[in-house]
Amino acid sequence: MKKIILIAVLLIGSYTSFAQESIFDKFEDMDDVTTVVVNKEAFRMLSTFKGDNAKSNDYVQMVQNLNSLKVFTTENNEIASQMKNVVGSYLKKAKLTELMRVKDKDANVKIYVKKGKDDTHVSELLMFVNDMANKTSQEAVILSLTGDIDLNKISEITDNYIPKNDK
Amino acid sequence: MLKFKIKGILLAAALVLISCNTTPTLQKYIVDSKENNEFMSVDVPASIIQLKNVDVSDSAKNTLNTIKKMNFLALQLNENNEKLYVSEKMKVEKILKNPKYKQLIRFKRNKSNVSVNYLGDENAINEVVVFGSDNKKGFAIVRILGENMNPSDILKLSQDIKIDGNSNQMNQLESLFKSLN
Repeated sequence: MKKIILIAVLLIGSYTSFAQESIFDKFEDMDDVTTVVVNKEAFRMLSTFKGDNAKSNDYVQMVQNLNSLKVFTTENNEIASQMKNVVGSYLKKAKLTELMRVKDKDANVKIYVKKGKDDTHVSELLMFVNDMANKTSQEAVILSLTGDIDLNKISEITDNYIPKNDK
Repeated sequence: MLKFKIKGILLAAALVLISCNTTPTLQKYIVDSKENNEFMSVDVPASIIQLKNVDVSDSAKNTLNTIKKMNFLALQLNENNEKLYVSEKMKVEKILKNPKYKQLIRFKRNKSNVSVNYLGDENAINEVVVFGSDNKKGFAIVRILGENMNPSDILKLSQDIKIDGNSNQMNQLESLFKSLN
């Protein structure tokens, strides 16, 4: 009996740690990719920094429900096209719906979401940007945010957590 | 009262267990590495962090007291120690892979990596480990030890403290950073 429980615990344990990994993680090991990963623990810690006013409380509420933020950036042509393929196959598999799409002469931005507990909440937000301006050196960015995300507050997150590109 | 006592004993036991299980590994690694001349190391007691005013609240003083000391350990890459760098970096990575270290953030750019990890709970941290490596320069470990450090209290405290820049340890630290560049 004990053995069964142990095996069950191990299985669940490995499953949950597996769940944190995503299809995009392989890009982290590539040399020409810049990666930022923010884990659940960081969001939980951030949420303990309680503010004084109502606005920051709102913010805390949102932050503590986040699971992970992963950003992969590359300027390598080959990896950029790999990223495009992986995002494409992930979209088919994971049943994400397109939230919005912006295309101009510089970049092509697509934002996808996975439906959460209600209409304003999503469990995953995926952003894929590829650079259109420069044909010789393509840039691509994958941003994946998981957790219980309130769509109304996404603009706050994007303002605060995406590292600003200085270029 | 009795309940409180039992809780206290349990907590102490848990702390002992935690520190027995994991801390010695990185602790041991740092102690062992200090003996190796390839490494540079500095230990900084928390006493270099000082309060600006004596008349701060008791809770601020208590917060300050939760911070115990800091260890710095660095291995600088040169022509002769690349093998050592690779094997030592793997050792540290393995230690930090222990699920007891909760990883907050990791960042990677080209061949350099930085990760921030901690031991304990988000409100009561016992150890913070920052591990940075660069396959061209070497790696460094910054380790902050304490007892039940509360990050939000420490953030509040940060306005009330100053660093004692004239202390011996601070000078050592400065020269360490200079030699790293």
